[in-house]
Amino acid sequence: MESSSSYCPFDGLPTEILKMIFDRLDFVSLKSISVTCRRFERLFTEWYACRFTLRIDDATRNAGCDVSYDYVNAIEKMHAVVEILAHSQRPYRKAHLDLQQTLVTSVQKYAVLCKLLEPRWLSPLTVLKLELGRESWMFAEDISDAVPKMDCLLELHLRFTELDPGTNECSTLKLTNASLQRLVLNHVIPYVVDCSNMRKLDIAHCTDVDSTIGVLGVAQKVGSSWWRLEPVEELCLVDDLNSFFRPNVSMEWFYQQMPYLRKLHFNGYTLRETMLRFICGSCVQLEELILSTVLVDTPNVLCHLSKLPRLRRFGICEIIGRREPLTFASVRLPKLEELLLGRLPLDWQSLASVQPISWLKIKLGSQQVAPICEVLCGQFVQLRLLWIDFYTFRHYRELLAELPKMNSLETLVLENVVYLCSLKALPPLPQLKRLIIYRCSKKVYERFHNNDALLANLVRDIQWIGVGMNTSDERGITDTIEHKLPEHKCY
Amino acid sequence: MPTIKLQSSDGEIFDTDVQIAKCSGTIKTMLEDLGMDEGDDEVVPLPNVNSAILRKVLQWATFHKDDPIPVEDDDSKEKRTDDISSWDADFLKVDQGTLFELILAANYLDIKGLLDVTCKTVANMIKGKTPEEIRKTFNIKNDFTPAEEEQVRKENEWCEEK
Repeated sequence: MESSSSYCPFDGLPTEILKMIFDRLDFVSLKSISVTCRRFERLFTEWYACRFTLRIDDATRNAGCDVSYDYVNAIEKMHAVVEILAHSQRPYRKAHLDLQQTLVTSVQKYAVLCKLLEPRWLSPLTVLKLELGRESWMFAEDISDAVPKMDCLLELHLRFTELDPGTNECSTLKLTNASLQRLVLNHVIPYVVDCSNMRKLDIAHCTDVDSTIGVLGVAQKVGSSWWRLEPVEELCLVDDLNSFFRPNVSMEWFYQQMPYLRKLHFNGYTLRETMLRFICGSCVQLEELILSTVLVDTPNVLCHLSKLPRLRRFGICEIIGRREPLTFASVRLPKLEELLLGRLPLDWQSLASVQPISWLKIKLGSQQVAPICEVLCGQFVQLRLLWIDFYTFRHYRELLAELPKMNSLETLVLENVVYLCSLKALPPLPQLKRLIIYRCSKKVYERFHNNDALLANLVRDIQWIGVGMNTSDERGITDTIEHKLPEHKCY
Repeated sequence: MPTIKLQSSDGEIFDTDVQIAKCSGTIKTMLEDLGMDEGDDEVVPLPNVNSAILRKVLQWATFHKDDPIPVEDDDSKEKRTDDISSWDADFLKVDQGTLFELILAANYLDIKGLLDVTCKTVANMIKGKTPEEIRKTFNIKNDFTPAEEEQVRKENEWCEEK
C-alpha cells in the first residue's frame, strides 16, 4: 500500500462496488464525480450518460450584457460544442439541439448539426429534438438523410420558425423511419412522412395543416412514399392559424387516412361544424375528442358525436357562429366517462340524457346556477372528479353548497380561485380524498396555505398548483380547455 | 444457542451465533453447501477480513439479526440515501479506511444490509461537494490534463437530467 498521504480509498474498490455507491448519487453529484479523475469520467460515460440528455443551446448565460459581447460568447460556445461533439464518447440516448436565437449564423449551426448527425451520435438516440431557428429549411436535406439511419429512434421533434417567410411546407424535408413512434412538428410540414410505427403525431403552428397535408396526399402518385397517416392513433393540432377554408377534399383526405385514430385534440384550433361531421364519420374509433373552438352551423352540432360509439372523453371549449345553447338532448354516447365543458351556452337540462359519467370539468361564467346544480345532484351525482374553473363565476356559493350531496366525489379541483370568500364558502366534504387548488391568486394562497387549519377541517390532502396566475393573466383565461395539469394528478 | 467459529485473516477466532453468522450470504452458503454442521468444531476461515473489521461486522450483524431481508431496488432510478437509521449512523462514525474496509467485507461476506448502508454513507460524503472538494475528501488524484478537465466540465454543462 502506498503511504497514507497518497492513498485513495476508491482505488481498492472493484468497479461493481463503485457502481453501488454512484447509483445513490443525484445527477449533480454524478457530474461532479465525473470531473474528478479519468476513471470516474469513464464510468460516468459507460453507465450514466445514457440516462441523460445532451442539450445544446445558444442562449448566452450572460443575460444583460451588451449584444456584441453575447455575440462573441455565442460564437465561442458553438466552437466549444463542435469540439465536444468531436471528442465525446458518451452514448447519450436523448439529444436536444436548441439554436433558435439569432446570434448564431447558419454556417455555425450547420457545423454543429453536421457533427450531431454523424452515425456515432445518431445510432443510440431514442429522442431527438431539433429547434433550428431561422433558415431551418437549409438543413432539411441533411435531416432527411439522417432520420432513416436512426434505428432506435422513438421520438422526433422538429421546430422550424415563423421568422422565415413563406409557408410551413418544406419540400426538401422527407422523414422516413421504421422505429419512430411520436413525431412533433412545429412550424414545419414535411413533404414526406413515412414512418410505419408513428402512433402519435403533434403538429403546432402550421397554417391550415389538415388541408396542406391533404393537398400533398391527394396529389400523391401510387407507389411513391408520401404522408403515411394510417398508423396514427393520437393526433394533436395546436394553435393553427386557420384561414377558415371551406372544408374541401384535401381536408377530408387528411382525416380519412386515420381510421385507427383514438385520440384527437384540437388546441387553439377552430373547426367548422361540417369538418366535425366529417371527422365523426371517418374516425369512428375515437375514444377521446377535445375540441377547441367550433364554428357552428346548426344548434344540434353535438349530434354528430353519436357516430362515435367508443367516445370515452369529450371536451369542447367554445362555439362561435350561433347563439342558441348547445344541447346534448339527442346525443348518444354510451361509453362517455369524462366531459370537459368550456364557457359556452349550454342547455344544462339536456345533460340529463347523457349517461352517468365519472369526471367533469366545467368553466363557469355568468350562467344561471340552478340548472347546473340540478345536473350535479341528479344525473352526475356519482362523479368521482369535479373540476370547476371559476373564471368570473358569481354563484359559487350555491354551487359549492351542493357538493356534500355528491357522495362519490374523490377529487375536487378548483381553478382560478381569485377571491378568499370562494374558499371560505367550501362546506365540509368528508367523502373527498383530495382537493387541488389550481392557479389561485397570490392573495388566496397566502391566506390559506400557511393556515391549513382553515381547509384541513374540510379535507386532508390539499395540493396547490400554479399559484399566482390569477384571472388578469389573459393567457390563463383564453387557455383552451385541454389539461394543463399533468393527467395523473387528476385521478 | 448453536455457535460456529469464524477465523479472521490474522488468525483470531470468533465464536459466533449461527443465526448471526448467517446474515452473511457467503457463510450461509458455506455452511449449507459444504455440509459444515452446526456444532462441528470446524473453523470457517475468512481470509479476506481482518479481526478489527470482522469484529465490527459481527457487531452490526448482531444488532440487525432480526431485520427482514432487504428487497432489491429498481435499478434505473436514483436511490435514497437519507434513510440511514441513527444506530447505523453512529456505528459508521469511523475513519475512512475502516468504512471502505467494511464495504469490502460486506461485499465479500455478501451482507446486503451492511453493503447498502455503507455505500449510502460514502454517497452522502460525495453529495453536494464540488469536484475539488470530492478529490480532497477522498484523496483522488486528478489525472486529467487541464485541457481534458476543461473538456469534461464543458460537456457536463450540456448534459441535462431530463
